[in-house]
Amino acid sequence: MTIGIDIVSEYKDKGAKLAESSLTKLTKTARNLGLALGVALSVNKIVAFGRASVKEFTDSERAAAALQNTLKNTGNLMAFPDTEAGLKNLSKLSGIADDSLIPSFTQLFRATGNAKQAMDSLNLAIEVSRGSGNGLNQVVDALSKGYAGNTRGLAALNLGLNKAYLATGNMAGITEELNKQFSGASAAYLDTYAGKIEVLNNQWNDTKQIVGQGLVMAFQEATGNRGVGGMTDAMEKFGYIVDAILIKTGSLINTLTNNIPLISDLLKRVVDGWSYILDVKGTELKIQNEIWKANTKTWEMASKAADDQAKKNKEYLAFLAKQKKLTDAAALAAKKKQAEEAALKKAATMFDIDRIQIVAALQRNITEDEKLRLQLQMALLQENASEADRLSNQLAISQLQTTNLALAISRLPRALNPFEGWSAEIDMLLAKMIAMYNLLQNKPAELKGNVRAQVTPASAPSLLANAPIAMAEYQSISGVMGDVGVKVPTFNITINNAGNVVSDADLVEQIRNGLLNSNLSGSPSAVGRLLGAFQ
Amino acid sequence: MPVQVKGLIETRKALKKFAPDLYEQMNKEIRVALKTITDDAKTKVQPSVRGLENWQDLGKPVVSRTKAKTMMAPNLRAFPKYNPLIIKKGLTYSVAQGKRNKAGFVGLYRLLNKSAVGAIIETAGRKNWGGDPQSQSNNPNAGAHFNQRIQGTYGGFKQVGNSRMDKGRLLFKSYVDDQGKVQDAVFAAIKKAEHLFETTTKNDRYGLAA
Repeated sequence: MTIGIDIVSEYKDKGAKLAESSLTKLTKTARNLGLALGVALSVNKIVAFGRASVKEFTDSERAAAALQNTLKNTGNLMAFPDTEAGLKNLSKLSGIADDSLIPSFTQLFRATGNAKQAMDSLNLAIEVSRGSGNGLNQVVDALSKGYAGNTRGLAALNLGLNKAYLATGNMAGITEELNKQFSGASAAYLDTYAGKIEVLNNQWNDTKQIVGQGLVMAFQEATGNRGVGGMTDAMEKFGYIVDAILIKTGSLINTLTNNIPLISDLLKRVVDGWSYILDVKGTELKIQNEIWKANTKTWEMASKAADDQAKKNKEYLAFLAKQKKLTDAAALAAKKKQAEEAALKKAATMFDIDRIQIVAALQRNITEDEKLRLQLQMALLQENASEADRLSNQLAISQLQTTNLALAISRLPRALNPFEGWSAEIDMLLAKMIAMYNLLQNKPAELKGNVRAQVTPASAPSLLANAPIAMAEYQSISGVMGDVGVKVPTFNITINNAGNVVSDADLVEQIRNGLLNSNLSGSPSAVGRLLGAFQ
Repeated sequence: MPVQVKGLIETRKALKKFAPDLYEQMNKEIRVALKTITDDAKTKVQPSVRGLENWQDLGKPVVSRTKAKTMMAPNLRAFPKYNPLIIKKGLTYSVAQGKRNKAGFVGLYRLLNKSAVGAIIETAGRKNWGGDPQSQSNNPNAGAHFNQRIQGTYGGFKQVGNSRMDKGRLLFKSYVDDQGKVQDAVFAAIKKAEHLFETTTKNDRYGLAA
């Protein structure tokens, strides 16, 4: 469900009012745009009038046109005249209007795709319709569906066919069976009163068609190019007058014919006379002529279409042949040209001065380099890229090997004396060795193993040179002792080169031992803990 | 309230036939005007309805529990779930001529709420606010509850025309809020196109006469 709000809406009446309004507006608009081109005289109006006044004729025409179109669209236009004549004949025989038969035929033709089969099926349908009491349209519908493979419609018509048999969909067998059952039903029906009435009605309709066609022709002739606008009322009145005359004349003739033979004869003569005056035969011939012309036109159209198609086919085939011929000729010409070019190239090679000179030069006694150059030049003239590349490389190598190598050798510097400057180098080495020797002479005595040494402020740096921590501690202690005015004693320290005095504790231990030894040897020392000093 | 005019159908036909560029231009301007309403209506769509959370569309297929498909009605569908995206998608407009209604009027420019769930939001309770009085349901108050929850989220109806059915919560509300500006814009576009068409026609006529 859509909910909507109409922002703008318009009242729209339906039926005639709408048509009138729309037509008026359309015409008005067209006029406004300068496009009013005689709408009053349009073919539509003629058709509208014709439809109202000669309905039978136009119905028949329309059905015939539909049939023609169907046959044309399916490529069976050539079958139209025969089909139309056959349908008219069938109409006369069966008492069914041809404008009713044509749609049925068209439907069957669509289902079968064959005009003859469709005509036979239509005959059968009429027989079945008359025999079974079903409507012709129903039967035609069922048959056409049957041809399409759906036999349900036939089963629904209750034609006495076995359901299993219908299910096979064998239409050839089914139509044969129906023919057996209903053959002659139409003829039997037409023998009845109702059948005769129907035939008469149909004939009357045909008569109306002929009259209608005559009327149309007459009106067309009368109106010419002036249009029918003003003629409509007159024609309508004319129709009523003709009706009245016919009815009155018919009843008068009937009365007189039955009662007074002389008058009947007289009247017959009068009618014949009028017929002669009115040229009834001529009119009939004219109508026949029109029908013949229409048929001829159809034939001509069909023949023309066939001829056109044949002509087009022929032209197309000729075009294809021409194309093939041209292609073959082009291929041959290309091949010939290629051969000629090759021959010319060959001949040109023979008379090419440059090449001749190169070949002549190559015959002479020349160096390898020159030979390569000439060969390279020849390759360039022959546009042989790979050979030219190869030769140019080879020539470059050759040139390097000859010209450039000599140049390179000439540019080499003089060879140097490898012994030049040796004496200075040796002197310098000797001086360095002497210096090293001197240094080795001044090397401090290396202490080995455990050495008991007396450490004094003078000997401490050399003795403790390899024990920087011990040296730092000694300097710290001796410094403190110096600060507090204590003479720095000579310490007897056992220096273990393996590393006895490694840590502060080791050094303290050694100093403590030294102090103890000093005390024991009569050189006492006191430590003021509170003062933090030695005494 | 929709405005009823005369001759617009013919004008549109004439424009379409004789000045298609003018016709397109006119429609373009009208579309812009109509879109303001639909855009506004889209902003009114809520992500969910308070109190009807189970109605929310969670993407599961919905199967009707009360109606079965039959030969006569093979396309019956379930009551739609609440999906704001679908509602927004359904809020649109049309510049095509609509079908003739019972009264003989044809809508020429229309605002539309096309989705089923959108129509529910628009109109729920419009006819029976307290639910269907002839309801045979075990829960006869369900209808009233449903309407109240929607009303609670979306607010009340707004009336466009005189009929009690000419009211709604989304499109109708936006249309009323617009206060006829869109209508004016539509008419302005039509007038402009007509004027240009007349000018062109006159020029053509003079041109032909000359």
